[in-house]
Amino acid sequence: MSNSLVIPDFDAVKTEYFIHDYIVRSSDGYVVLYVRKDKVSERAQKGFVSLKQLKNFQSKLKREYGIDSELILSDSENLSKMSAGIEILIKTNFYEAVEGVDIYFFHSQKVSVMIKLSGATSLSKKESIETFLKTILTSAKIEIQALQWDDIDLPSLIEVLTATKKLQPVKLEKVYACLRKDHPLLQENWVNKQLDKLIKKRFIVREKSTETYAMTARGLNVLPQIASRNNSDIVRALDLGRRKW
Amino acid sequence: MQYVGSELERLALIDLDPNHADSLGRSAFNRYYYAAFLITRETLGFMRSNWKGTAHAEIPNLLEKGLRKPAQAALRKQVKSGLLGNGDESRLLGDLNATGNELAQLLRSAYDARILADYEPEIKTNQSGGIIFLRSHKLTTASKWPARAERLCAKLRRIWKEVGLV
Repeated sequence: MSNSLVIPDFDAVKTEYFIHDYIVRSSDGYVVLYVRKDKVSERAQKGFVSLKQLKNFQSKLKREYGIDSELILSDSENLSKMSAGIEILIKTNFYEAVEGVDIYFFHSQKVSVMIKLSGATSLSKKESIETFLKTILTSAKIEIQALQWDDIDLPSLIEVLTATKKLQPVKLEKVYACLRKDHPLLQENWVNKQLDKLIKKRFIVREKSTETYAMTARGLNVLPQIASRNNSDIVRALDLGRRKW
Repeated sequence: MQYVGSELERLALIDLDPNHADSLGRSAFNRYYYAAFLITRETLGFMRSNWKGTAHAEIPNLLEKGLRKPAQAALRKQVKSGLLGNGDESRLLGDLNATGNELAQLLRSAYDARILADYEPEIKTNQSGGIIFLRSHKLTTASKWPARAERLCAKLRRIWKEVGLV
């Protein structure tokens, strides 16, 4: 198969859609279109091609020429430099709290950001960092798709509920020991507070005389039903079996 | 797998025979791709057992479009019952989308490089400034695929656990 694409005025099309390279793969006949991320925008505008325009072009290739295509957004040196610059700005302004910043550009106008914190950081400090980041990015017309914090890994309420279901009737220490396997920095006091929250929301109850926690029907209903050996019913049954034998 | 990739890359850069250098360089692309692919496949199997067998070319689509539905169903139930707030739901879905999309972009590009390396022998690698290129793919970028995939997969596992789906 030829590695060239037989489409009228393809050079003009390449310019219009900012396709910097393309190839016809002989293995599967796919046309692979390479477009640099710094030329791709969320919405159509001068000097850029939008994701929607590229998707429409791919549909047109299929519809009019019967060509299957794959779009590869290539990394861009400009965006890498911009990521590095933003990281320096954040680390300089919040040197006591921020250890690292990872900015990933999906295209020129959308990023995902992961901020690694040096240690326990107050909510107000996190809000300051977020506001600072948004100010920089908004002025450059860049949207944050997700901002994630790499800090102390704590279990979610659903994980606390799942552990309670597995071990019920269960004392605080046992729930704590179970969750600590996956969350080594966890503190018992924190687990106690989460269990109190779950009692207030009527997902669990606490038996005063035995100091044990047990699920309510409401708590059992909220746990997702998953088709795997990690299903809370299966985990519970296996745990009961182990206790018996 | 990643070690083999880096050894192949090292050998490709010092081999004076252009044909040998080309073979070594394209094999390095293949190894780096497989390292990233295997980490992802393991994670998908952890998230849902029948996702483990997803075909190579389909994995980016699954990461972009398939993760949201089960997560959203579980989160809606949790919001409805009062366990989580709307803000928690939107944060978790946003994190899931962003992580899935980033891994999808990585694997789509890596898969393309691997297909060129394995099935398009007429497209030769070339070297410039100590970097091996296969068309627009750089081997220095490829060497980071496994670690990046590992990091993104760890995030996916964490989100999935937070949603309560494992």
